[in-house]
This record gives sequence, structure tokens and C-alpha cells, in this order.
Amino acid sequence: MYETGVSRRLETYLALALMIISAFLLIAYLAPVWTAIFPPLFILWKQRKIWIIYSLLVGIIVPFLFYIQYPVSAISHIESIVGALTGMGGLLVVIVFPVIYGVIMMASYLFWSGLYGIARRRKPAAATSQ
Amino acid sequence: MKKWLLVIIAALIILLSYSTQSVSLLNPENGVWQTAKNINYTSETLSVPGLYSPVTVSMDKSGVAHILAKNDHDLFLAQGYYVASNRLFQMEFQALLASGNLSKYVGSAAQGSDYTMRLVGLPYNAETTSLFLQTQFPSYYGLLEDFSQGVNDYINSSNYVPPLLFKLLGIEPFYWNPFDTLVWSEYMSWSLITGASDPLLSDQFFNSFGFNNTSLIWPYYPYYTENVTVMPGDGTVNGLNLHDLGISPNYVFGLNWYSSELTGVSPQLLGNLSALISQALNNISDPYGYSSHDIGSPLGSNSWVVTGSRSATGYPMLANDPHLPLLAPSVWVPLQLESNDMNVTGWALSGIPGVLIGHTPSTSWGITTSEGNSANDYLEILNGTNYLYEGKWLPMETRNFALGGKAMTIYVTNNGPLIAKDGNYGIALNWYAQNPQTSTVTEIMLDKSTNYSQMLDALKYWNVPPQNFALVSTNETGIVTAGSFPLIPEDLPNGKSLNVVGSRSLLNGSSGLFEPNGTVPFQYLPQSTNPERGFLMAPNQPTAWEDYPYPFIGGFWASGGRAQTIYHYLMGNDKVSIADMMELQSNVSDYWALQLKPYVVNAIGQMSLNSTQKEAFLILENWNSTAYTNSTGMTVYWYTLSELYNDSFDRILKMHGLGSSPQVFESTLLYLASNYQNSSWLNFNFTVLAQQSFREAVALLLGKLGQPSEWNWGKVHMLEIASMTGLSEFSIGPLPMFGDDHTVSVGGVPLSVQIPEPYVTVSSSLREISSPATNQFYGVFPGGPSENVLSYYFSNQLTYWMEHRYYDMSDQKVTAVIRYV
Repeated sequence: MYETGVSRRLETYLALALMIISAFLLIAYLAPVWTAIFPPLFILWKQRKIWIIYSLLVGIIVPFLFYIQYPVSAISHIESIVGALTGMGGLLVVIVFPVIYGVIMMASYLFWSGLYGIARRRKPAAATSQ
Repeated sequence: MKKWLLVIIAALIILLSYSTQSVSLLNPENGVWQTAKNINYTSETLSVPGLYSPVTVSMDKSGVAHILAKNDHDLFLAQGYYVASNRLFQMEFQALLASGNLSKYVGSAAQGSDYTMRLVGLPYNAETTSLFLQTQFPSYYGLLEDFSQGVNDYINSSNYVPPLLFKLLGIEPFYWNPFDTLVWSEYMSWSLITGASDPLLSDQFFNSFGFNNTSLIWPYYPYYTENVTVMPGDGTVNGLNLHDLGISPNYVFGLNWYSSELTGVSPQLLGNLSALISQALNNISDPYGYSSHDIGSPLGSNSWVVTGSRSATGYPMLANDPHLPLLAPSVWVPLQLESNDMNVTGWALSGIPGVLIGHTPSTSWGITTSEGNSANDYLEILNGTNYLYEGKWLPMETRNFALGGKAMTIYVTNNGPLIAKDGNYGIALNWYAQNPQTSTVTEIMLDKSTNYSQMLDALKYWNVPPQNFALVSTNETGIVTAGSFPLIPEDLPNGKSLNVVGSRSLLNGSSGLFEPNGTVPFQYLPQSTNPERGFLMAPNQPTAWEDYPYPFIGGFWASGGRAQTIYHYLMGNDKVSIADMMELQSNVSDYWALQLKPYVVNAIGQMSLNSTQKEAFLILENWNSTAYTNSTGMTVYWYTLSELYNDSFDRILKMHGLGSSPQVFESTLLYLASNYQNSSWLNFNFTVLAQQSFREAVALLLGKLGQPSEWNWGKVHMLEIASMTGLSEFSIGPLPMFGDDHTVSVGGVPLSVQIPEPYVTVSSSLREISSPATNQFYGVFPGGPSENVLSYYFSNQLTYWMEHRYYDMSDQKVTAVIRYV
């Protein structure tokens, strides 16, 4: 019972870590925002609702962490330039990528876990028919 | 989960991913934020392929890169790498602009510019020069290739950070090659051309006002320039003058140079060509670029040299400040280039290897535009795609290209590309730049010079654009107007023959009689070495006076206001120090204002004044003709003059459809005010005109700025350092700005009745003061080495520039050492 709890927790941490690392790598090496579809693959078997929140938070926080490497003044300057050129409010320029990344990750988690759930429900049915 | 719900979620993901593709630009690692990674110089070692030996780039605290290599190959490769890592967007933008390909970056907005660049022939001229250098100057061409390799090494390197504008425009850099360097060099030549639009404008004046009136307001030599020519004296050069040729200067400059005898085009025909001339002027006006044709204030520059006998140190000294459109980033990159056979410090044009303006340990040079035609316009008679030449119809050469999906053709006669065509007439631009150019050879030779005669040798290769080169070595001083001035053969009415430079009018292109027959030989170019009076100056005034053996009919010089200030300052100073040179470079005294003010004050003094007018009048009366930002007298003077122009010259020019032509010089106004107060140009009464202008100016200023004590010059006269992209987010300013068109420290804008004035966009693009013998080298420019708007080094020298302070270029602390291996 104890061992099972530990391994579950370990498995949960591992899944979370893999999701975070894959999000980091995808953001660092591939620019498109739709790459957020892939990190939730590491948690697709997690069926509790809290994972919806986890995937959203990871999707938002991981992109934000990249901003740490830049001076605040530089962020503020780019924010004002891009804001002026695109007509977006300054703060929106900073948060739009993380928020969209997070939303896509959350939706993707729902999709992958849903798909996983359907696949699991189908397996016993297939065994019975044999 | 239900299947239908899954399908909906999948659809939502696809929709969200698709509709937010552009958000990827904001990826915090490799989106626009990446630009924030490249804002400082840090000591590091970078791998640069192609180097024979390691190169050191030491960044000093003023932002000057000191590049030290063991050989020229490594040096120019490293320069390419360094400049690209700081200015890649600017370089590529400029090369595309000059080659007529800018619409590839910015779309249809640049199609007009692309057409103009191809029409005047920049890419074709660059190709010609490229082939010529490859075969005739392979070692110099090799340096262009080394530079290009350095640029491309940077693009390929892991250190490459895409410039912000590449990111925003979603474009990738193209690989650089020597053509890109040469085509940008062509653009710089084009921006400093004299003789393309000037004779056409001159013809429009002639058509509207006739010879006498045109000559009155636009004389062959600007008024009051006799004693301030670049080459002192009557025009005799190396023992040769017009008198020696048996021709009197008075006779030459008394002729009507619009007459059919001297142009081959009859005034009657010329009168019918107004539409064609307007079309030509419009076609060669670059709507996107920054050439002199498109800027309210014409480009100008200052330089002067002082001999050892007149300097406080006992050794020659030089000052130079070229006036160019101030851009963010600046066109200049401050550098030191040092290898086994050269050691030069100064300013390079981004995209062009070497240092264009600067010094070696024993020589120094500066550049100003000499004016005087390097181009001429020819009237062609056409029949379909043929043109008439010496009685025969010849087929025109064609240059075909596509622009915005449309096929375009440019027709070329023996005189050059047709810049306008209307019915059976066309205008061909004959520009010396259509020949192979070796000005880049001059640049490298100057960079390697160690004495005066080597500098002179270098100038023999300079052809376009003709420039006044101010030169000093450890013990010699001089100015040479170097370049290729095409000579037009003329049979004078008195039966004598003469070669002249340029024209006031369209020339007949069909007869062959007026075709250039060579250029002014180097030994007879305007020049002076170690002048007796102890100084020389070249701020765009006439280069040589009327006895010059190759008369400048197409002079089109500046009014000479800055030349007068420099002349009087140096004449009044027996021993000029470095501090004096700096003081003169920061001088904001308007010479023409100083001369005109008594006439204006005298006129206003005769009228009755209300209290505000009285206050304004007192300000004007006590004003010392300086244009500091806190000067109120300058503002009163400027707006009085603006109103005066608006009510007289500009009104008359507008009535004749010449509203966009350059404004009449203030020296011409001075001449009329002192000699012809009842001239029709002054509404027949200067006093009434000045009084009316003063009343209008005071009313305007009172309405917009309040009481006279608030009328500071810096409130109405402001500087904008614009981005070449036109995006204000990448620009600097507006900032309160000193000076005007005629002050040595220039801040020129056209006279206009608006508050604030149009922004100043042209000023000293750098300031240089050198004395090689005493190892004193000072400089400053309104920018920094980096094009990254986030970087301190984007504009790190701007404050010093605004305050007329200098960096000691031979003594700056190194802040980072970058090794290329």
C-alpha cells in the first residue's frame, strides 16, 4: 500500500516533470505556439480534473520563466515597440504567448486524456468479443 | 468523455493554433524578445570561419571597436563580421533600397523607390563597377569579398541573433556579396549628385522668368562668395587659368548659358518642354530614400584645415563634419582597423569595408560635397524605340525587369537612361557613375596612407561623387576637390572653344556636339596645399573663382554662409588651437542673419508697434544672430524671414508652379535688399514687405506660443533622428535643436510658416578634429555602433554630440575584448 502510494507519487512527479521539460524544449527550439499540443502527452493517463489546471498553469508559467533572462528595461522597451506596431496593449504583448500556450496545453490535455479514456474503455470490450 | 466532445476540443485546438500563428512572433525565447539578448558587448571568444589567424575586437567605452588582425584578409573579414553583428538589418535594407529591390521587404510601399533606383541605374552601374574591379583591381576586389565573407559568417554563426525588424517583418537575411557593397556606394553617390535635377530646375526658372530674372536670383556664383572659395585666389590652378586660354572670365560668365548656341536647345523648344522636365524631376525623386533630392534642406558639410604656421601647436589641424540625414541607426560605424600594413581610425559606412573618414597615426582626412556637375541632362529626339544621333536613328538599349508583377522597361540612349519621355522627346541622364568606379580603391589607399603624397595618390582614383577632401599629414595641409567632372565642349560666340563643367540647362543629345569629352585632369582640379594665409575651408561653397580654366557653369553651390563664418573666425585668429577648432565646429552664428538683420530692423523701426510687437522688436534688435535653443531672437528673425519668403519669393514661385523648388538663398535676399529694394521679387518695396512679415510673424508666435519671452528656438525647431523604415518606434526625438541652415553647427530646415517647424533631419553626421603630428584625434557622432534599439550602444554618443563635446579617440578604456578565432 505504502509502496504503491510512493510509486504513484513518483510517477505523478515524473509525468509533471516530463511535461514541463518538454514544454521548455519546445518553446526554446521551436517558435510556434501550437507546439503546446505535445507536452500533455506525458500526462494523458491522468484522469483527475486537477490535471486540467496543472496543464494550464504549466503552459502559462513555463513561457513566463524565459523572461527571467532579459533585463526588465529591455522587456518594457520591446513591449512598447511591439505594442505600438501591433496596436496591442503593452502588457498584452508580454502575456499573450504564455496565455495562449497555456490554453492550448489545457485543451490538448483534455483531448489526449479523453482519447486515452476512450481507448481504455474499448480494450476490455475487444477482449470479450474474442 | 463523449466522442463528440473530443471532436469539438480537437477542432478548438486546431482553430486556436491556426488563428494564433502570429503569436509565435512573441515566443519568449526565439521571438522578438530574442533582441534583448544582444544589447551589450561582453568579452567572449567566437568562432569565425575563414580567418588565417585570430583577430581581437576591443570595444572601448565610447563604442568604438578596435579591430586588430595580422593581415588585411582577416581584418576585412572581421570588419564584415563585426558590422553585420551590429548593423545587419540596416546593411540589407540599404542594399535592397539601392538595388531597387526594397519592395521584397516592405511590399508595394517601396515600388516607386525601386523603380527610381533602377531608372537612374544604380544596380546596373554597380554591376559595371563590380566587373571592372574584379579584372582591374583584383586585390581590392578581394577585400570586398573578405568583408562579404565576414558578413555571411555572422549570418551562419550560432551567435546570430536576428535583428528585431527581421523578426517583425518575418524575413530571413540574404547572403552579402561585393555587389551589395558597391550598390550602396552608388546610392551614396546618387544622394550627393549635382547635375541631375539642378539643370532641370534651372530650366523651369528660365522658362518662367527669363534669363535676367533667373540670373538675378540664381546667379552662376552665389552672391558674396568671391573671397571664400575653396581654392583661394582668382581660380588659377597649378599655373593655369582662363586668361591663359585667351578668354576673359567676365565674358564667360556674362554669357547666356541657356541660349541655343551653348546648349543646342532653342529657348522656344525649351519653353514647350515644361511637362517633360516636371516628369523627369518627379521620376528621379526617390519617394522612399534619403537622397538630397527629397529633403527640404540640401545636404552640405563643413571642413577646414589650418597650417602649422597658423596653429597653436605649430602643426596642421583638420576639422570635418559631413551633413547627412541623421538616421537611427547612423550610417556610420566608428572603428579602428589595424593590421600589418594599416592602422586607421574613424568612421566606416555600414556595408562598405574600410574607413571613409578618419585618420592614421600620421595622416587625416575629411570629406565635403563639392557640388559642380558630375551629371548632365540631355534632350533626346525619339521615334518609337529609336533615338536620333548625329542624323541617324539608332535603337535604344533596353533594361527589362518586373516590379509588383508588372513588366517594366527602361530605355537607354548613348547618353544614359531616359528619365522622362513625352511624345517624341525624352531626357537622358548622363552621370559619370555609369562608368566603372574606383572610389573604393581610394578609400583603402587613404586608410593605408602614411604621408601627404600618398593621400594625393589615393585621390587620383576617386571619381564619383566629386568631393572636397580636406587633408593633413604631420606637416602638410591641403584641400583637393577630387572626382570626375565631365567636360562639355563649347564653341563660344566669340569663336573660341572651351571645355566647361556642367550646364544650366538641358543639352542637345542628338547632335553629339555637347557630349562629354573627358574629365577635368587631376592636376587642374581645384586644389591648394599649404596655403599662404594659413587655412582652407570647404563647406560646399564655390570651389574655384571665375578664372578657373574649366568654368563651372553647373556649379549649384551652397550660399556660402557657413564658409563666411569659418573664414571670418579663422581670419580673426592668428593661432588656432584644438579648442578653437571645437568652438568653431559648435558655432551657431548665422552669417546671413547677421548681415540681413540691420535691413529688417531698419524697416521695422519705421513702423508703429503695439506692446507685443515692441517687445519682439527689442528682442530682435538685441539678438546676436546665434541660434541656441534658448534664443528668442532667432525665433523672431526666423518667422519674420519665413513670412517674408511666404509673401514674396515662395508666393511668386508657387504662382509659376515652382513651389517645390529649392528656396532662394538668403544671400540673394541680402543682395536685393541692399541693391534693389524695389525689385519685383520683393513686392516692389522691401520696407513694406519686411514690416508686413514682422506683423504676421508676431501674430503667429503670439497665437501659438504666448508671450515673447516664451519664444525659445528649441520649442519650434526640433531634431528627429528617424529610422530608415519610417517607423517612429525606432526613431529618436523630437529634441530641441540648435542652429539653422547657415550655422556651422547646422540644423537646417526650409523657411516655413508653421509652428513647430518641420523637424530637422539633416545635420552633422559626425564631427572630427585631428592633428596627427600632436597625436590629437577627437570625434563624436549622433548615434552608436549598434542598431539594436534596446542597447545603450544604439545612441551612446548622442548626448555628447548634442552638447558639442568630443571623445578622445586615442584614449578610451576598453570595456570588452571579443576574440574571433
